[in-house]
Amino acid sequence: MSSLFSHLDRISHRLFQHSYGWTGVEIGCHCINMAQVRKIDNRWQLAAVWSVEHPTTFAIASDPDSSQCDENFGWLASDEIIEHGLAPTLEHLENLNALFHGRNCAATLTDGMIEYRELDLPACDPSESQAMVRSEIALELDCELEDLLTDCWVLPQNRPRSNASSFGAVSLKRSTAMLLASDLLKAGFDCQTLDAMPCAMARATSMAVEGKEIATLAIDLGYHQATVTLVQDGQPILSRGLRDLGLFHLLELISISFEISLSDAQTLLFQSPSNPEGDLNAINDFSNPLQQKLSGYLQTLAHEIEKTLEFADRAYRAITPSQIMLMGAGVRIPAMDQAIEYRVGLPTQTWAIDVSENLFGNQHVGVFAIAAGLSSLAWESM
Amino acid sequence: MHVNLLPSSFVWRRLICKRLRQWGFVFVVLGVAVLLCNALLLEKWWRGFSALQESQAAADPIRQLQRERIHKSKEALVLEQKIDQLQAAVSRDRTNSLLGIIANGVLSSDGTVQIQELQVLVVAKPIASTHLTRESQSNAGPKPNSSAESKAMRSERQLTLRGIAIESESISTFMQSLQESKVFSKVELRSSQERLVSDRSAQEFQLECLSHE
Repeated sequence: MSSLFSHLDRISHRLFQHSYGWTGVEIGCHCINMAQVRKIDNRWQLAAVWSVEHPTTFAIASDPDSSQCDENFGWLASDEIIEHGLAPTLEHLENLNALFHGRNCAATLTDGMIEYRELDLPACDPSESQAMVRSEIALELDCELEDLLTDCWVLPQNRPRSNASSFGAVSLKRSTAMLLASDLLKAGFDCQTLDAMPCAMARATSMAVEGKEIATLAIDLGYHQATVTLVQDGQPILSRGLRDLGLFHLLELISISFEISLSDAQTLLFQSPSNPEGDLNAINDFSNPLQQKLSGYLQTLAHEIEKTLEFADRAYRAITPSQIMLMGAGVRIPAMDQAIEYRVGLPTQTWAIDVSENLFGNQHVGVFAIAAGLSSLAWESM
Repeated sequence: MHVNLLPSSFVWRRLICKRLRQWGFVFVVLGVAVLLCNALLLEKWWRGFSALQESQAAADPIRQLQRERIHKSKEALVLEQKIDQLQAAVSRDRTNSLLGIIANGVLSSDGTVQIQELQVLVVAKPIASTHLTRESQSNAGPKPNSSAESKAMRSERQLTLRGIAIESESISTFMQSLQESKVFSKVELRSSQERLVSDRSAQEFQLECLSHE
């Protein structure tokens, strides 16, 4: 009977939701981004998006007198999310079922809340490797095996002669995963998969690039950290979390320099340039104090990207990225792709797919790239 | 490719909930189907019941007529019984026969007895109670009540003779003649007294005779 229901699930998915994916839920420190994609004639289309900011507990709790104290800038520290879940934020999501098709969702935690590491382990069976990865991480984090959830995938062999395999491994506290899934369920979303950032980035990238075999360096510019992932054939080859390159640090810098609130700093940073045709010139205009701050950020980012490229070149000579794909909140910074392309020297594009006619306004769809990648899991899981 | 960091306990719990929902859905669908079938059957039954009620309503005048017929039958039975009683009470007129017998008696006394007065009185007397079943046996209706039961009546003729005899022996002979006729169940001399008739001594007597039908 159970297999009958499984067949019925597949049939109903094909009959009724064949064109719509799950609801992708990307949970960051500043906000939760949600997206749902659909397939039309084998093309991806962004069908629905939604973004909700966390409550403003951070600034008030940390330093009420600080200039950063901003009632309009939502923030939940990663520790708070890990310990207390998302109940305060998800309270506002109960009416979103009308926007998205179906209750199924796939979620991930960004901003480094799901820890990623690469491990070299002796070659063995996949089940053994799972157990070894788990015990290795538990040992490293000094926690009980029962309290830890891990998953891993095999990375391309970068040292062919050695008798070891490289694994990309992700881990999360069991209590956190349970809390998130329960909170989502309360909000009306039935979490099917709790994915990891590198995998979601890889899927999102393969949705937007023409040739899947082309190695692409996907860069997610999040609030808490930037994540760089080398992707080929929809697989994450390597991934790095750049903690100092979160947008929040840049906003904090601008906020302090100009003595404005974080939300005002964000508005200032994301606002369109006065001359849209000369974006790149504007971003390189060092007479503009805002551009000076941004330039510093970009310089550091470009440096980290170059380091990653160098490492990729050293480790995987056969997999050298030939383009950069930008995604995350950072794509709202005007001419970001051009600035990175200018500094790194690789063709850079902002993540984009077709947008449904139902979505109005000048949406920065790159913000919802991770959520879209999660949404596409509906087809991968069936 | 993807990884899944959902705890297996949550996955199992969700799967169980999902299966319960699916089974619940199946049961709800079955329940609704059963309810619909019942509603259809009930509607069919209700139609039959309504038709039956209409038929019954149509048959009411016939029933009323049947009841009236039974009532009339009972009344007819009672009337028949009364007629029987009356017929029983009114017997055939045997007066002439009795007169013949009496005349015979007179003749047997060689003309020494003369009948001056004859009074015949017919009396109806009940003999025994019997259930009249003639109508009730042929009819499935209720039994007639006790008032419908009637007692068979027996009619008696009471003859009172008054006459004159020359002598007492003549009276005795006359009475004997009457008794021997087997017609009278009782012949009784009620009175006898001497009297002068045409300067001759005679016996004036009174007899009472009872004759059954």
